[in-house]
Parts: sequence; structure tokens; C-alpha cells
Amino acid sequence: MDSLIYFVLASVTVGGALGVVFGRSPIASLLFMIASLGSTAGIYVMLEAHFLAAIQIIVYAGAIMVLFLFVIMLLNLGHDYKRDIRGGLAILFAFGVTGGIGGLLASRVMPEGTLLLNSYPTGVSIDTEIAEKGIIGVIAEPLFNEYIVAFEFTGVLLFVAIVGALALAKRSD
Amino acid sequence: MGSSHIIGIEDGTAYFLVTSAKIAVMFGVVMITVAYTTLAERRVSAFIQDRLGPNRVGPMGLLQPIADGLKNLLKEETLPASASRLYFLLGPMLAMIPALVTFAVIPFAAPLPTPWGVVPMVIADVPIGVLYILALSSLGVYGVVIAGWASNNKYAFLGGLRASAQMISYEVGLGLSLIAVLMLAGNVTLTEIVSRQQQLGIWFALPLSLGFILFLICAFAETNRLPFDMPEAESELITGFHTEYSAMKFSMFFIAEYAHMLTASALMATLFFGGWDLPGTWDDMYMFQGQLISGFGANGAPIAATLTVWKSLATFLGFALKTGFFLFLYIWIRWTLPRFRYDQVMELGWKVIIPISLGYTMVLAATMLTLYEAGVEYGFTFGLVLSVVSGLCTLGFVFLLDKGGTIGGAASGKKVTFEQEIL
Amino acid sequence: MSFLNQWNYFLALGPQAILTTFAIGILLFGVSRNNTSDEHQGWLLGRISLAGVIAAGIVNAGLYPFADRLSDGIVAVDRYALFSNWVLLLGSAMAILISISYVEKQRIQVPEYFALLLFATVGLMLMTASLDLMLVFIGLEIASISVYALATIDQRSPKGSEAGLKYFLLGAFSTGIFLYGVALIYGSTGSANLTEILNATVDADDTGVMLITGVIMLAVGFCFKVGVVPFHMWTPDVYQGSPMPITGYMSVAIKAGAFFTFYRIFGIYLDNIQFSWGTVFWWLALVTMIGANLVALVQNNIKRLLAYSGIAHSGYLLITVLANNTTSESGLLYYLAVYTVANMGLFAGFVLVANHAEHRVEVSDYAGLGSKQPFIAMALTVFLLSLGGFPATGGFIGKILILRGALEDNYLLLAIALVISTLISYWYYLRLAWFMWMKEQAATPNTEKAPEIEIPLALKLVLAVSLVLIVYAGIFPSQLIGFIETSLLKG
Repeated sequence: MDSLIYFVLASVTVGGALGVVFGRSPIASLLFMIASLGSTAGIYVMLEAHFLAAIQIIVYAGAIMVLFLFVIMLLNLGHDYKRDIRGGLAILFAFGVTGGIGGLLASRVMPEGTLLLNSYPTGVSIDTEIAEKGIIGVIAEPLFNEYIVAFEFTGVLLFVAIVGALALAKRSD
Repeated sequence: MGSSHIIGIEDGTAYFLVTSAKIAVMFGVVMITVAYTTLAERRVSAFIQDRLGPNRVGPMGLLQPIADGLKNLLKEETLPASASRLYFLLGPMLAMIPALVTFAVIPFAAPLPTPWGVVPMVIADVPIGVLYILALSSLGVYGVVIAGWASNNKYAFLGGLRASAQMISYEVGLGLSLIAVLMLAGNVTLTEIVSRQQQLGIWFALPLSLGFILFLICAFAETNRLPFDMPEAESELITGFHTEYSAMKFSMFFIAEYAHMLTASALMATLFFGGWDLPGTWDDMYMFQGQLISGFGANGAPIAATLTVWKSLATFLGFALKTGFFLFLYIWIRWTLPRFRYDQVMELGWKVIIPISLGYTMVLAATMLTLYEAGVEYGFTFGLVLSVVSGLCTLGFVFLLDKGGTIGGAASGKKVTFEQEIL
Repeated sequence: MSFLNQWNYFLALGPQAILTTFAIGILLFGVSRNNTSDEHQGWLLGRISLAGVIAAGIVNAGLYPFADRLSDGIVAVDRYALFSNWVLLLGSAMAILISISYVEKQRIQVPEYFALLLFATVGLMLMTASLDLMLVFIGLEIASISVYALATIDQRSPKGSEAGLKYFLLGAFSTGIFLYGVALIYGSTGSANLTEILNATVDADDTGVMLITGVIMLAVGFCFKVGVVPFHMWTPDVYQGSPMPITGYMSVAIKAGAFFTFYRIFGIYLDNIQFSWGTVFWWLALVTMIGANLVALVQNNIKRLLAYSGIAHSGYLLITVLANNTTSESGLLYYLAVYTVANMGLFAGFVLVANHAEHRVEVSDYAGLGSKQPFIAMALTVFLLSLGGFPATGGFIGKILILRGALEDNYLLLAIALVISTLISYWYYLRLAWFMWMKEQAATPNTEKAPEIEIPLALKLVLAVSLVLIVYAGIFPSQLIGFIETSLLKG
């Protein structure tokens, strides 16, 4: 059952990603992307990362993609356009490279697992931690202890992005 | 009566059957409530405007929704010549699905004892609870936007644009006002939020009064109801995003809107008014170390909860009443208040709601930290202190809004904003 | 330093915190006043940001007693990080000084400009001090996003917009590759923490494709930021289009920050699996040194010239990451310090000659500078010689250290390539000097008569300080080397 769900989700994820690239109109691409993001969230749920799944939907599908949609509609780009990916050779090259990397990874991961897998932290299982601290606590505690610096500087990063965007968007007199 | 075993996912078939039954029943209940809310809307509006309203079909017009449904099913479906067919069809579906599935995580009654085990009265008690609702309600905007865009009609298009801008803006405020609840409850699952309200002894509406008010405002904006119904403002945009829709497709938008209202009402009842909890401690029951208990004895030992069917029924009735009240509030406000202007909506969202909810979160967090540091246990005193603090915040908020000038009136001579320019 | 007490993070990241505070203060100052009416906002805010840099420097000096190579957090407070802070602070202080007249003359939005400059420095300093790949990423992004915006902050310049867009798009791709690399490394070692990665790879003889792919992608991300040859395409265009002080800052601070981090990650924490990335770096270094120097020969625009020169320097510095012994590590630190000073000095001169604008940027515009402005020309010549690695300048000692480091680890071919490419580089460095001293100004200059150059105090300061430092580092290197040897990660 689990693997069936997984394969459905995985194929929607990959299919959606392909659809983004090959979609004929920006709106179609956008909907494909939402599908892809949504099924990624489903995979997160299967990995017991419920919080991540929720955030994936809220942030990406619910906010960022809506903004994309807003912009596409505002600029009236929603109509079908001619394909602008150049000829077969470029596609072949691109897929050759990514396929090569993907194949290498897959060949390594699939049969024997990664060599360094034994160094994964072996602690209390995530279920007991969730039962103890709640789904948020499991994320919040390392976030505000171990990774407090990363958290705070992510704030700086977002602030810088806003300042930069405003500096560029501000009309010079 | 029966075993005290709680039916969970490990029970296999039993769980599957129980859940299917719950889904079927709740779906039916939601659809009927939606249908009768439309009737209630018309009757209440008639009452407010001193008219009679629909009273011909059935006794007191009670069969009116069925007649409406039949009419919509039988009407001709139209498709605008220059609309893109696929997206035009997709719009209503995308609008309706999130509206219906959000109900799955809301607990609607005390756990029901059956001969086969205890059935939790919530369809899916997912561990992310509130976040699930936020996630799905944020998807609701797609239906509206895509419908507006696919209609290839400028009014519909403007409605779609307005909807996306408005819903993104108020989602932030909604999330921020929810933080107050999450902080106090310490968890995001809705069952846990209900049980924490039982433990506190006060429903969260008092200790988090300002949070409740902000949530109420944002929920109105999120559901696109008056005074925030910019996306369909009929005096400006005909009916906005669903201008081109007819028959059942139009009806689906209608159902989606009312289902959203229903969810929002149920959510307000759950988050701030104790959910299915009724006044007094006789119905309290919550999970403690895998057992349902009704509280702690004098020696600190947990007291096992006694489950009865009538308790479940009574709590369900309580939940329905609370939800019904908020549905009524929706209708009441719709027929009393005028509509905001678009820039006022945006200004309220970004310049009032968001900063105030941020500040309120800080005040609340500081108060709670001080209380915990001072050794005050989570309980009635705790809630009382928070109520006082929140009450002061609420007074300040009301005073600020009442001072005028917070939201610019028509004559305030404000510069034309960017949004106004394009919309 | 122990980070069980979270307040210690404030101490450890004191310089970064101070710079952030100053940057936010500048922004607040900017919105609280009417920008357009104030003529001397550039001077005022420039001074404030300079004060911020100095304050950060004071804190940085005060951190030395706490410096400790062991850290249980995700931030390192070792002397290496503190040294890199010095270099980055020096670079940004010089960039601020150069910018003051420029922003006033070009009427750039001053508060955002200086704030973003400080933020970029914060990001770079964070990156060099971090012991976690996630934090490296955050630091890198803070710096990159600030610089994307800075590159195109002059909206009236179409070239600037082009540069900014190009930098942004390619930078976004490289960030994606970098992040994917981090994800793969995380996937194969179970941690993004560098110490844990080191432990996980300690007895690795065959580490698997996943880790190696991740490491290579990480390297590609870095190589993009420093402009190593196959990933250098953006560099000339972006350098050419950006405002001149920002070009200087980019060529110095981004490169220094990236290389400090690069060395920390690859030289120390991924040292166990050098067999996986060593060959790649070997070829990259070779191609970069030779290729960039050859292309630089035919450049006539000084910003493009400096871009290719910078790429070539990245090639030299890659050798130090590869050779990876104490000598080459001192070489890296020494070289970056000297390179920062020389390049910023050079850009100070360029800004002066261009008269705080974006014209007169061809090599031929420098004809006759020696007779008209001997001080500027002399300083510029010294900086050029130092970049080329001429004896008695700081660059010479740096190159010698790199060479020795390479030879100690038997990278003979790379050492030879370094010497050859240095010889090639003399051609274009000296060509500029030759124009300054040997060529008379053309009778009818193509645009207008070169205006009389008046040197503002700030630029005088930059030129003089750089000049003194370069010559001092070239003639009395032992003190600086001694200081650097206490700052090494190795040994």
C-alpha cells in the first residue's frame, strides 16, 4: 500500500516537473508545478515530516505560486506560445547530462544503499519525539537551540532580499 | 459499555469502516448545512430588510434549497465563446474541493463509545491540524483566480486579481493571529487545542480576545464575505469572478463560498470557543498518556473519563450551536455593513492587522513567559491574567481603530495607490 | 568556545551583529529623512558605515582571547575566521571610502547602497566562520543577493541592469547547484555539519557516487562565485556593467570570502576524500590560469581586464586549496590580504580617472596619466606590479608562498603553469603602466578633454594606505607571515 502511494506521488512529482517544462502556456506550467509541489508534500507526509509538508503547501503552493499566477495574469502571459526550447540536440544534451547524473546516483542508491548510511544518527525514533513534544516541538527545539544562528541569519537574508528588491523597484526621480 | 479501546489506524478494517462512515455523515451534514445556510441568508436578509423572503416552497420555505438545487442542475450550461474551456471547467472544481476537505480535521463532538471501541469524533486527527487548514484554505484561491482568468471577461478577471491579492494579504494576518492560539495551546492539532481549553477552564476567546478579533476579521476577508467581498463586488464588477458562470458551475462556487463560511465558523468555535466543550467540567475529557481522562484528582492522579452516548450528542449539539452562531454572524454582518473600498481593504490588512498581530504576539509571549517564570501553572489563574492583558490590548486596538484616520475615508485625499491604478 | 550558552553566539558573531545593526540603522536613517534634498547624504552615511566597519573591527580584535579551534556549535571562532574578518572588513572599508564621492555624483540611493554593502560583508563574514553547510549557504546568499542588487542599483544605466540580471540569473543557477550539492552530501553523510562530515568520511576509501557528486556540485557553486574558468562567463560582463566601486568590492570581497570558505571546507573538512575532487581542481586551476591570462591580453576595457585578471588569480588560489599544506595555506591568506589591498587601490585609481562615473574606462584613456597625475599613476603602477607579482611588492611574496606550497606537495606542473601564466600576465599589467608613463595623451581624445582630477580625501586615504601596505608587505613580509602562521587552520 505504502509503495503504491509512493509511486503515485513520485510519478505525479516527476510528471508535474516535466509538465512545467513542456507545458504550452504559462498557466499550464504553473498548474503542473502546483501538482508537483503538492505531491512532494505527500512524499513528506509519508516520511513523517508532517510539518514540512504543511509548510510546503502553505508557502509554495499557497503563497508563492499564487504570486506567480498573479504576475502571469497581470502581464497577460497566459496564452499559448510557440515552443522556444531549441532543437533536438540541446534537449538531448540536457537530458543526457541530467540523466547521467541521475543514473549514477540511482545505481549507487538503489541496490546497496549508501556506504555512509551507518553514520546516520541513531536516536529516539521520530514517533516518540512527536508524541512527547508535538509536531512543532520536534522542529522548533533544534531550530531555536542548535540552529538559532542559522534561523536569525535567514531573517537577515530575507530582509536583504526585500531591501534589494525595493532598491531596484524604487523609481528614481 | 463497550471497550475503552480507541479505534485507530492499527485496527485496520474497523478503522476504515468507521472513518468511511464519518466521512459520509459529515459530508452529508456539511452539504445540508450549506444548503440551509443559503436559505438562512435569504430569510435573515429579508428579516433585516423588513421583507418576507422565500416562503413558498414547503413549510416556511424549507424546501427552497432543494428547488434551487434542482433548478441549477437543470439549467443550461453556458461556455463563453472565447474562454479557455479546460480552465473554465477547472475553476469551480478547484474552488470546491479545498472548501469541503478542510472539515476533516475539526473535532465535532466528544469521543463516542461504541461496543467495538471508542470512536474519536473527528475524521482525521492529523498531527498538523491547524496548519492543514491553513494549507488547504490557501489553495482555495486558485479556483477563484483561474475562473476569473479563464472567463476572458474583464470584470471576471479583475475579480480574480482582487481575490488573489486579498487572500494572500489576509493569509498573513490569519496565520499571525493563530500564533496566539498555538502558543497558548502548545500544539497544533485541533483535538489538543480543545483539550487545552478544557484544562484552562476558560475558552480561549477571553485570554486571547484580541487574537480572536483579528482572526474574525481575517476569516471574513479570507472567505470573501462582506465587508470584504471585493472579488465579487456587484456594484463594481457585476459579480466578479463568476460573472460568466451559470447553472451548476455557478452553484459550485456558491457551495464553495458557504462551505468556506462553515469551516471558518467551525474553526472559530473550535479555536476560541472550546470546540465541542460545554461549560462546566462534566464533559471534559482529553488524552493523557494514552488514556482518556476527565481531569486530575486531589492527589494528582488522573481520573478516567466516563464516556456516554448522550455526552457525545450534547457536545455535538453544543458545537453545532456555536458554529451556527458564527454562521449567523456572517449573515448578520453582510446585511448590516457596507463594503470597503479596495485600497481600504489592503490598508487594513497590511498596515493594521499585520503589525498589530505581531505586536500582540510579542505581548502575549512576554506575558506567558513571565507567568511561567513566576511559577504560575497552566490553569484558571493563568487564563485570568492573560484575559486581563488581552482585554487591555483589545481596548487599545478598538481605541486605535475608533480614532479614525486608520483607514482612510473617501475624503482623506490619499494618493492613488498602485493597486487602485490597476484595479 | 562553547555554545551551550546561546548568548555566546552573540559574542562569537559580534562583528557580524554590529555590522547588521549599523546596516539597519542606515536604512532607518534613510527613510526618516527626505533623501532628495540632502546633498551630502553620501558623505554622512559613508562615515556612519565606516564607523560600523571600524566598530566591527574593534570587536574582532577583542575576540582574539576567545579564539579557539574547537567549537561545539555551528560557528567557528578560530583565528582563521578572525583573520578572514580582517581581510573582509578592510575590503569593505576601502569600498565604502571609494563609494562616497561616487554615490553622490551618480545620485544613487545612498542608504540602500551602504546598507547592502554592509550586509554583503556580514554574509561573507558569516560564511567564512560557519561550520555548517546550511550556514555557509545562508551567508553566501546574503552576500550574493546584496551584490545582485548593488550591481544594478544605478537604474539609469542599461549596462548595470544587464549586469545585474545576468549575475542574478547565473547566480541563481549556481546557488541551485550548490544547494543540490549540500543536499547530496547531507544525504550520504547524514549531516550538514562539517565536523560530522569529516568524521563520516574519515576512513572512506570508496565514498560512493552520491557524496562525490555532492562535493563536485558544491565545488561548482563556489567556482561560479569566484569565477573559475568554465564558470567565469558572467564575470567580464558583470564587472563591466556594475558601478565601479561595486566592481572593486566584488572582485575583492566576494572572492576572498568564497576562498576562505572554500579552503575551510575542502582543505580541512573534505580533506579525507581529496581523491574525489583533487583531479577536478587540478584541471580547473590549470585551465583558469592559462585561459584567463590569454584572454586578458586582448582586453581594452580596464574593468574587463581586471575581470580576467581576477579570474586568473582565482586559478592561482585554487592551487593552494589543492596543495593544502601549511605553506600553501599561509600563501592563501597572504595572497588574499595583499590582493584585496592592491585591487581596491587599483579601483580607487580607476574611480578617480573615471571622475566618479563610468566613462574613460579604456586602456587608451590612461595615456599621459603619468605626466599629469604622477601620484595616481605611481600608485596604480605599484598595484599593477603587485598583482603581477613583481619583487618588492606584496604580490611577490604571495606568489612565492603559493609556489613553495605547490612544490612541497609535488604539483610541479601546476607550479610551472603558475610561473608561465604570471609571465603572460606581465604583458597586460605592464601595458596599462606603459600607457600611463610612456604614451602621450592623444591630441583629440575620442570623447572630451580629460578633466582635471581632484582627489577627495577618502580616496587619497585609500591610495596611500594601499600603497604603504603593499610596499611594506613586499619588503618586510616576515611580520605579516608570522601573524598569518598563528592564524592557520592546519598545524
